[in-house]
Amino acid sequence: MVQSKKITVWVVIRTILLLIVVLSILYPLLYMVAVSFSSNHFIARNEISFYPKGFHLETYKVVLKDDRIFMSYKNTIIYTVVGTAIALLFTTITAYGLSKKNRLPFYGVINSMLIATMFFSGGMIPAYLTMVNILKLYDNIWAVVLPSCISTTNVIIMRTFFTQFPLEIEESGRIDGLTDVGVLWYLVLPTSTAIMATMGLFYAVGYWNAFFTPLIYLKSQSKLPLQIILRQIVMRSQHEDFAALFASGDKIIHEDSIKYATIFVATAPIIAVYPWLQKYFVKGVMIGSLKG
Amino acid sequence: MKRILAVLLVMMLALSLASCVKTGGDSTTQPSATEPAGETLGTVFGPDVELTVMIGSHAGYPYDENWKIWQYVKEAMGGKITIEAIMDSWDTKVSLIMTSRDQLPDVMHVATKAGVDKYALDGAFVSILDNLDKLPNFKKWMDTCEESAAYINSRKSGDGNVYHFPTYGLHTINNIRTWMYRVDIFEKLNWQLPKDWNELYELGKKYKELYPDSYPLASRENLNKLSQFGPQWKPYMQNKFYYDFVNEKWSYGITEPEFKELFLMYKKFYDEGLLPVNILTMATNDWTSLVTTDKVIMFNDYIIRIDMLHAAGRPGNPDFTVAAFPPPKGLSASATTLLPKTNSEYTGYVICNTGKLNRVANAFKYVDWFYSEEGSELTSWGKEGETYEIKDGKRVYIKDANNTPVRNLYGVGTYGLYQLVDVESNEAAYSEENVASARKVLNWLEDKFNPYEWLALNEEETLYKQQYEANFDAYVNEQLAAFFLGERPMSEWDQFIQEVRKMGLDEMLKIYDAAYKRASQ
Amino acid sequence: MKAGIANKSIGTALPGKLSWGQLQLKKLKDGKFLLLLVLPAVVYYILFKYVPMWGILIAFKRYSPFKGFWGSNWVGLQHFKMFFSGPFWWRCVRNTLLLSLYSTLWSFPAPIIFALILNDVQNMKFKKLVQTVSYMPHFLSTVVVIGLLYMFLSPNTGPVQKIMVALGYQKMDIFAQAKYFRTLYIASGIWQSLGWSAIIYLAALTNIDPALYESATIDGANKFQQLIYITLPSIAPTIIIMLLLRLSHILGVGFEKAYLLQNDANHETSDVLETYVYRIGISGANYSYGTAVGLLTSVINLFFLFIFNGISRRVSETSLW
Repeated sequence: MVQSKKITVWVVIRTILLLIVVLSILYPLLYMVAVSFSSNHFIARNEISFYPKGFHLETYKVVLKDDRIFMSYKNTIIYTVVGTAIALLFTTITAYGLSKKNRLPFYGVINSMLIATMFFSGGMIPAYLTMVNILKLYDNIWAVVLPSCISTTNVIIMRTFFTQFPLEIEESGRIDGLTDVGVLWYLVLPTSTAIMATMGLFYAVGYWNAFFTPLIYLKSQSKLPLQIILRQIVMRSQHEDFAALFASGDKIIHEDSIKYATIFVATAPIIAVYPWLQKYFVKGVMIGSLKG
Repeated sequence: MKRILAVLLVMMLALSLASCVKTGGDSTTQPSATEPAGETLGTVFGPDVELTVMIGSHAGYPYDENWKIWQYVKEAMGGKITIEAIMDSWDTKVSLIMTSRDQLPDVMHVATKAGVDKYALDGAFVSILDNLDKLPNFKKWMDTCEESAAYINSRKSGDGNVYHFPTYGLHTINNIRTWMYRVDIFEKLNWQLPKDWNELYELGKKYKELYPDSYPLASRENLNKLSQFGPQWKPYMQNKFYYDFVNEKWSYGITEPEFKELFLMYKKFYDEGLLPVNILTMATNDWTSLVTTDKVIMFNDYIIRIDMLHAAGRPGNPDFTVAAFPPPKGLSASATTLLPKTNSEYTGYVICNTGKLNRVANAFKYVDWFYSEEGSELTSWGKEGETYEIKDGKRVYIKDANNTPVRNLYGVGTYGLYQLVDVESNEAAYSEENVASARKVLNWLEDKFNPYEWLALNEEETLYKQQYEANFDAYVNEQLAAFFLGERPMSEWDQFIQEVRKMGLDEMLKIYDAAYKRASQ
Repeated sequence: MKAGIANKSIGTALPGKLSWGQLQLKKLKDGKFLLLLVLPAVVYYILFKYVPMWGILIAFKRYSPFKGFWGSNWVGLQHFKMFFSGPFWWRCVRNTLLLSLYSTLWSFPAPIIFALILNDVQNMKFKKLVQTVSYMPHFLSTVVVIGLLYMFLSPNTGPVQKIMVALGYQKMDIFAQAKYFRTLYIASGIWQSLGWSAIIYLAALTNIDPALYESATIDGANKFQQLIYITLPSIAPTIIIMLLLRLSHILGVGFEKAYLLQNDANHETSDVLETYVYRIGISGANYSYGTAVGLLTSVINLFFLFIFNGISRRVSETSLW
């Protein structure tokens, strides 16, 4: 650990390696932004490398005016907010209940029931048939939100966190006449903001990025979330024509810049938010993996 | 703490209620069957009829609820018409919807006969011919149009019923595919059109030498394109199942020696750079930009692409011109100069078996309207002064300043909006030079359709086909791609044919043979 | 892991000699509110996880939606026979296992190495920057990652091909070539998870007692020796647990990514069990057949899980249960 300050070969190699990691992550973003601001002429000739050429904002005007993108953005925000709220509620109460291993009736049965689903599932088609035919969840917000609103892994992470809560405080709360629900609400939750933030982030990212669930459980174009529209725009299949060329005023916009601009618009919120939540999610991951 | 309990209970209640209300709703909100269907209002339905229409949405002309033609349809229908436009993965979406009767729309506009047959024998749709009394306008068309019998016959499903409404009026230009070339480039270079595939290859080579970054012979649609070339090497040949009218037997294209010759030729094009390196995954836009930047000079595609290419190419190059040319003759012994007959339109409405009499009755009324004079007129032309005008005694569509195709502008000829089409209107949707080219191409088509497109299989056969052909087709597609890209050596071709045979090819051929004999009786 | 999932010691933890029934009754009285808290989850798991398991029965029927679950005919093992007599079963299993295996081989060590290197950095600002940046790809959706990949490697406008051509290579359509599928899949996977997966190793590294290093330095051990004799043994338990967790999902390669990277031309390596179920079972409307293949996947998965857990228990006394 104690080292001299002189620059050794290893330090140089190490720094270069880490810089490569950083660049491999930042360059695609930089390139994406550069192309999205560039004009058709330079993109068609594949001349963009680091900064926009023929800078213009028309691409973003087209993207932000696109009804599909706007509507799906709205949908994604709704699904994410509602989904995260429900998921947090369910995960918290379940995890708290399970953290009282010695007092929860049927703990063994319930715990096994949850854990077993981590290793065995009915599979894609029975799950779909159940959702649509038995639960009647199809083509509405609940069909997107409910299938992933309790993650067993997250329950375990939270349960582990709750077991670390000092028992004496809970006991004194109960002596003061609080039920377990009251203890959770008045005593435990106020000290659990960190884990709540972590879980909230995990679920929110999950809902924001969800692709498969909306792919099969949604039908109406007006209900599709951003990721599905993103795929329609960015990875259309080869046999499809795209509606003419994108044009805004008298400027022709290259398809690539539309695609990059769309990706950028879709990811910017998450990229902007995650650095500020770093200390929470790092903690969450550690609880989850080490002691889960 | 009661608060929490309340929240919990409400949540759970709300969830279960939400699902109950959804299921309960259907049966109660239906109008009774005896209700006079809005005749007093001059519409097909009264104001409280609800009807769901599921249609595809083509990426080239994605569904737009503001399209005038849809608005005319909705006006004429009355009631509340909900359009569900499926943007991509139609097969998957339909398959998912088919798992639950509650999710079925009232009518669907299905693009292929196979897409209907897959579910028809399970009872997903309602038979047309058993319900002609509910279809007065359709009946009138049957009685007055000479070709109607043939059209209806080609829509039969394996149980002898017809579920798929035939579309009429699109046979003169839509779906015709042909060889095309860059007229301006040929004139500039003073080149003659190729008469056979050797000359085609030579011209490609010559152009590639002149412009090394060109891909002179690039067509879209990867190796499926070989079906378009099939007849030039052997009459009626396709790359998959087809009926050989000359030898009167069913065959699978790739097993024919002529197919191998064709394949080798196309592979030579690829190996020598006459086709772009990403030909198997090339997007249409990439291809369009190759054509408009003079990198492609000859290709095979839909004839209506002439207008699209002109629109894309002429702003940069006023001379830019694409036209059809007669198919070059193949190099095999049985070569012809013909194109497969593809001027059929297998898209049409089906009525879903929702199990509710009112809904089915309304669905019949809905589709029947498309065969009425009013329906045919409004979907073909729209309204005078709004979507068309009369010039020199002829009807022409009113265009916007950008010369947007009427499909994108009004929705003319988009999914869900054609059943009985005025032939003239269909041609009026394209430029005169495009129509002129199409007229010529009609003479180069073979005389018979590949029965594979419409053949009706019975339940057992359908089951076999459904479970088998998916594997089978996927395997052939992949192996063809592997041979084409050189990942599998051509020396293993015969082995490949044997592999395909082992996977049950002969069984499939027998099935098609039996079904075809049944249908021909 | 162990403490979390093990559940054997409930009864013995409580004092007194009560029968099971009495015990549950007593617990019920004391913990009724706790039960209330977990009740929604119990309902949820029954509806969303256990009812579908019951639906597996359609693998042995010819399920037709219009006949319904009860009305569809039993066909026994027909769908399993069909799968094993078809051309693709071995390829799907092979692709799934190989993809999983190669992924593990490459993307499992990567974050460990990254963590070791990063841990060595003394400049806290630089360390923090690298760390923060490295988390970013974890937050991008699969659609975005694959979308970026497509655009970066596009033969026409992608910057990577531009460099390749400048270096004298031929332009190529990398997505249509089966031999590059795994490379693309795994490389983009590493890109996406490097920083995120390193979190836990970094945490384990900071928990190592600095005194160990100090005494090692005094004894004259060089950095490499310190790595071998102090660092790696200290984080070995973490590594083993992570490896086990990973192997427990050997057949779960992630549908989305394989599906999004797949096209007709690369099926030879890209067709895995999950995409096959989707393509034939869902897109092709062979519901029962798809369910049968899905069931096989689950069963094989379970089989491997038991094996790896058994091995691990013997070798390292660490196990999932």
